[in-house]
Amino acid sequence: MIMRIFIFPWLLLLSLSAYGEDNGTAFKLRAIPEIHDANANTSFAPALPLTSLGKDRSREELEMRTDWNGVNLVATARSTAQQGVKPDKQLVINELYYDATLFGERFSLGKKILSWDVGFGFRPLDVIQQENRRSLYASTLEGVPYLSWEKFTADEAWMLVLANPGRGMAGEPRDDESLALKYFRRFGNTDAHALLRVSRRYSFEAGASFSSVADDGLEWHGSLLHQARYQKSLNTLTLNSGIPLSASDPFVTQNFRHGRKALLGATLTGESGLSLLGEAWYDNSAYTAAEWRAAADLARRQEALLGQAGIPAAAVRGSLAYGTRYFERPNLLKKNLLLRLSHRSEVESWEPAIDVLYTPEDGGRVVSASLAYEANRYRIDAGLRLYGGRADSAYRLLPEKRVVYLAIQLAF
Amino acid sequence: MFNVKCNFEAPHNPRAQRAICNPRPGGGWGWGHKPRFWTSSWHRGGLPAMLGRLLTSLMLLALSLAVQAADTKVQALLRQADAYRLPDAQLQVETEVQLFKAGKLDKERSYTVYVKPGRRSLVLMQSPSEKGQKVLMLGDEFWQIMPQSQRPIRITPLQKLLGDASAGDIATMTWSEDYEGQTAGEAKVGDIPCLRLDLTATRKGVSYQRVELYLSKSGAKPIKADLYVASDKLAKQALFTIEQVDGRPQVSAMRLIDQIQTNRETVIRYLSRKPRTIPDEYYNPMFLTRSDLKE
Repeated sequence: MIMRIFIFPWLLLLSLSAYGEDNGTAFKLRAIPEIHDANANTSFAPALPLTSLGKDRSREELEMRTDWNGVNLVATARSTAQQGVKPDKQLVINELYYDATLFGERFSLGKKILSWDVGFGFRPLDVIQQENRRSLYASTLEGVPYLSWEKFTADEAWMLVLANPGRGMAGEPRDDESLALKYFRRFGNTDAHALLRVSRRYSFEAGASFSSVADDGLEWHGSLLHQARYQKSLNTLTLNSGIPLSASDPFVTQNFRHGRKALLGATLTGESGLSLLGEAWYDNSAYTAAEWRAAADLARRQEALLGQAGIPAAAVRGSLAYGTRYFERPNLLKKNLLLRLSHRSEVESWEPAIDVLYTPEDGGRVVSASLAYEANRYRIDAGLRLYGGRADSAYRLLPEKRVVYLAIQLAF
Repeated sequence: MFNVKCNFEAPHNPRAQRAICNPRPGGGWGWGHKPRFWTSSWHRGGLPAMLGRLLTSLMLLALSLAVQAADTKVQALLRQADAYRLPDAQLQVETEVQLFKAGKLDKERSYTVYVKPGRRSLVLMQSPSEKGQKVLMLGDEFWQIMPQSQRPIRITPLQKLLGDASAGDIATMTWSEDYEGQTAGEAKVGDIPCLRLDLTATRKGVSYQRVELYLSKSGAKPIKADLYVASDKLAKQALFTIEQVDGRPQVSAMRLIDQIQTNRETVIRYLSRKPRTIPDEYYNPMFLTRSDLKE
């Protein structure tokens, strides 16, 4: 029995490997365990048992990349496990698309990753793809259903995309139906991008970005996005002077006019292989420092109710757990600064990196350090992320203080 | 008005013309500026002055022709040497790159490279660990796309040099397009009598700014090259293997011996080379997100 358990996966891998080498299909097998340390010194801590924060987890993935008669497919079989939660298995179609040429015109349809911005820490122009830039270890993104017409010359490109056709305004912004027009032009050592997008959620969005190489080792880039409308979820309990508890989700989504997102950054690479990235960005759909103070104040008032006669602890924990939705935003605060130092060499297999994300409005910070080792067919990544900063900062309120991860990837 | 500038014939070789006609850098008097005594002699209009002018013109003409001839000869040698690696102007090249550490195989990569005149090349990574990655090179400008995010991003020449695609770049660089230089004597590499060419890159984006290239005296076959980075440090030594491929001698492999990390070596094998013309729009950075190029 034990033999069968161990032999079966290896036989499967060997047969997949042989299949892949025969027809150009590539497979990647990954195992990513994560150790999450809870932060007990925050008012949100009593909510920990009801959320995924502070819990160890792991995921195993088998990714397949192939193409057949012009149809491209990237699919991932994923198994996830989390402390205290039943393991889950899913099959994700990351990409499944066909690029066609009809009467000299370029078309494309299916499901595809549509990343458009030039930034690293934040991507204002990723209006369709909307990936999570704060993930510890990024696997291949899941694309978006689309239909597009594209036009290329040597220096220019036009793309008209209908994303998520028939979905209207969906539950999540990335699933929204939208129509977008993207333009690209190359001016010598500078790339310029512009886009227009129409969707029911945000009405009109217009944006532009650039990326320019100033010399052998210096690149700088910037993005700007204007939204006719943007949304923010606000906790109604912050406005309530009574008992700050709720049996249902107290968050309401409100519409605001004139959303603005902007980013400016540069990368400096030296002959030694050292590379320094600096980025500053602004996102007015993120919470203000005052909103975070109100969230912290509410959490303190809720925490103080624990143990009081006549108030069920489950209700307090439930209301605090709803409050952790504050941490779901792509940017916790409007103003963000990122500095990243990394080293890569043509001959070395090791790639160390360290970065600091700082929020100047409240003095919060996230420090991440990683080390990668790449061999012929496998790659190992190990990393650490620490949340900290001033006592009342958003990142100190997070009921997690440390994450350690390991990622082992085998390619065949 | 007497004008030395371009009275003599050098229009067919812009480089020679530039060398002769342009002022020297740094603001000193170059041949393009008229020396004062000539001007005054001309105005005086004497026979000795005219003879002097004629003699000077003839000397300059001879010098120009000599520079042009030397330049043409070097370029012809480089074109001949290039043809052993890249027999056609527009090609699809399949390469296999093996990196060795202390004699043991460390990494193995395979690339498909599409080459087009005008220093345009497109590298598609084919190894399982890199599948889906692409690097586009247009002169000194570079873009990379990673399969996880499908986002064509600009990279600097140094980022390109530090990346894995630089090996693919080395396999398809054209000395005649990217370098100029002169013959610097003769030498024997092993038993092969060679011409030594001292080459300097004509653009910043190439991986190596200076190359000492040894070509066989018979047939200008590439035998050895010393490759120097921008700081003039010897980075690698390349040794070329020439075999009969498709009925003619071609470079079948290049062995790059690292001169900085001396226990490292890269072997680049040419698996196939075939003429392939792809449209200009394929070299648009945004086209990298499409999958029209296969094989």
